Amino acid sequence: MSSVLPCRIVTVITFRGDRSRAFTDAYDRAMEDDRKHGRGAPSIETCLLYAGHTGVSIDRGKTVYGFNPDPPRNRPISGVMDDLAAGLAFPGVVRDDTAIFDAATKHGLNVHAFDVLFPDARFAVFEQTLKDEIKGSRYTYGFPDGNGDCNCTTWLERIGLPLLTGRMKEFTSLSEITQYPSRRFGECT
Amino acid sequence: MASSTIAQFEDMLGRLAMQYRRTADRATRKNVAQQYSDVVDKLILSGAWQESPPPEDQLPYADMPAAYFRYWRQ
Repeated sequence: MSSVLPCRIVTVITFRGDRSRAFTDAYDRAMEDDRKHGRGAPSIETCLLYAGHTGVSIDRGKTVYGFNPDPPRNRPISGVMDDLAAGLAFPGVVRDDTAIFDAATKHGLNVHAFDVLFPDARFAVFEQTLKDEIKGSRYTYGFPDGNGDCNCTTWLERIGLPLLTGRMKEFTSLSEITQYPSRRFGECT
Repeated sequence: MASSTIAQFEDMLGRLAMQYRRTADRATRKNVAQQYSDVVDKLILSGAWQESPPPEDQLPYADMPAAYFRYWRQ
């Protein structure tokens, strides 16, 4: 009789954005309209299809939650993107982004997924952490090396989801990892 | 230009964007923006730049090189 307890599954889902010339042009034009005329801004879906996104599911992909910035309602999207690029942070919000991942698939993007297996007790802790985050995130959203705590990908680490297997080859094959001698998460005052 | 070189230049844009965000000093940011512009010029000259950088690898609009937007316009 096996002494190994059955595992529960957390699924990580991610896609790389569409930054082809056609989509980039459409995105840039929409941003320009928003910036110059205050109208025609790209939708959140368009922004995420351009940028790429990462989410997490605890029901085998039926519902996918993602971490997003929650800027003031009166801040135009072009301003939000400028603020993020300048290193500013916004409160983070966890949303049901299932439709975004469906849209990415329909758009023809490769949507990747992998499972993280947890024993029951650890899954319960993760599930509660995720539920707490859905109610109100403890983290701020920011671009790498900005003032925010994390973005959609590094948020997974914040909520206790290990992303690496531990194989040294996997870790040392992350060729870019040593090109950043340090990394910042959060405002240093 | 080899695709590996394109990838290196693209990665350089991301590193410069991080450097930009790490400082609030305007002179340093201007200097980083100039370096960013130089890399964009190299990518454009390659004739093989096929994917625009993700938002986190870009600078704020005011400091993005004009050549970038001309290049990506269809």
